Amino acid sequence: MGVLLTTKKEEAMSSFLKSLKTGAKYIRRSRFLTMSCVFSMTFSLFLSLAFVTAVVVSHYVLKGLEEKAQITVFFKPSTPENSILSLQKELSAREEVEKVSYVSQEDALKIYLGQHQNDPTLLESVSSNILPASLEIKSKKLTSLEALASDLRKRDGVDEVIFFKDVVDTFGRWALVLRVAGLSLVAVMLLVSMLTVLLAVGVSVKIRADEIEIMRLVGATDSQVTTPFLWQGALYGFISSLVSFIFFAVIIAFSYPALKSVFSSMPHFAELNLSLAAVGVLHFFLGPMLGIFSSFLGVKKYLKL
Amino acid sequence: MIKFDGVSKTYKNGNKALDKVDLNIKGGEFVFVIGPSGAGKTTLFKLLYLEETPDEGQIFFNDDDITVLKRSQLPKLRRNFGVVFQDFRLLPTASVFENTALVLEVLGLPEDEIEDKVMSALKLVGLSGKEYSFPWQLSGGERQRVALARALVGSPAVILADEPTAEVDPALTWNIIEILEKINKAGTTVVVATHDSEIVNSLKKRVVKLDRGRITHDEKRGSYV
Repeated sequence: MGVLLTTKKEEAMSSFLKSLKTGAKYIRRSRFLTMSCVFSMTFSLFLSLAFVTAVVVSHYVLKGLEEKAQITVFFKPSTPENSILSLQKELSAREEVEKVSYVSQEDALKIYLGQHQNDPTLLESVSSNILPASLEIKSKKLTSLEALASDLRKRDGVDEVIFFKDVVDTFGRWALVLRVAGLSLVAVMLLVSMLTVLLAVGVSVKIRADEIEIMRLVGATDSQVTTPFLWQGALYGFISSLVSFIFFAVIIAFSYPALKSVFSSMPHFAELNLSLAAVGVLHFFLGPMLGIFSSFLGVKKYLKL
Repeated sequence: MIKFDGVSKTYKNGNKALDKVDLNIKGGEFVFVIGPSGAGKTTLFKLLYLEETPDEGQIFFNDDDITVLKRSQLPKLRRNFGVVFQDFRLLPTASVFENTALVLEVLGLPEDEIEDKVMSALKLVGLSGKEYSFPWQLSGGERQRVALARALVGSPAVILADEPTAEVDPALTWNIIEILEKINKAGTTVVVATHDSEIVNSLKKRVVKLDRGRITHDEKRGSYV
């Protein structure tokens, strides 16, 4: 078949910039279509970013709470210290227990004094005798706390057992609801974005039906015809990602002092910041990728490739 | 260079456009295809650049059977043809320059080379100074010359001109024919479908007559019959 059989992949490569320029021209020459598409995508991407951020934050808050989850066992004042230490030793040996710390009456007083140093009235009325000694038990698993607590309540000398399971469970349930509802909403929003780009590209293809036909008749390859539409989608996505990110960043910047005071004491604050930075970077890729993928579907559907 | 071997084409509406056509065109020839409207001239062209496919028979271009080409091979084939379409097929939202440059952009030429070639082609067809006009701002004859400029700008192996002088005045008609002759003398194969008997009779080139899809006349130095 000679020269007819060869396809020119290298031509597609060399026309990279031309395709980009043509894609930008398609966007410029259909301003209202571009505006409606970018507005819709920006809204969807903004909500997606907000919900993904909320899910990430809730994940780290829950993680922090779970790690904080511990049982505090308060002992009656009459309980001898060696009994408490012996219980500490026994508990430390248990598989589900990660760490057991002994807080003597004197230690408790020091903590109390530290916490209320600005309130002389409270300080005057307190001595180490009225503060109970305690064991702070950190469990490896949140689920093992309940059994451990009920076991400790039966021990001699134990006055009270306090644990955070209820708090963690409640937060965990809310975090799960947020995760499921948020990610479902994100999926719906991204689907809406995809359909918007798909329709926009469809309209562009219909508007340019004659142009596409002429291009093909003068020897344009499928990639020469389709690539500008992929760029069109990518540019929609990039602009939407950028605008939605700027909006979100402005909101975060304004509320940062309040957020910092709430979350900076979290055990995984640095890790949270890193994860949020990754979410931001992914957000910049998400828009263009979504645009390209939707355009690809649109081109495939409307150009009948 | 071009060979039709028992080619037939019937459209979906039942119109038999070509009926067992055998035709051989050598490289560098200048051929007039004449015949009444509906004789199959445009279909003959469309089958060459595969805008239409034949129902039976084979079409060869440079010894390759183009009827078996895959979709991905069509661009390569079509780049061998510069086509002046009967209805011009200009992009209404593109300037004269952009319309002419389209072929070269498809070929992937650099921008400065595109500019040089487009300007030369527009000068050749007498459209210098109209580069940035849009098709709707041009007369029928000017649009036809843009179509001609686009057909020849990529220096194709074959020019297929479907009624290239239909909308131009007599002076410009001869101008267009002179351009086609000049291109032909440079080695390009030129096939012109026309109703213009004066041109056909004056040039004494090969004349192929189609009538109801069949070749009824094929003369080396023919005249309008």
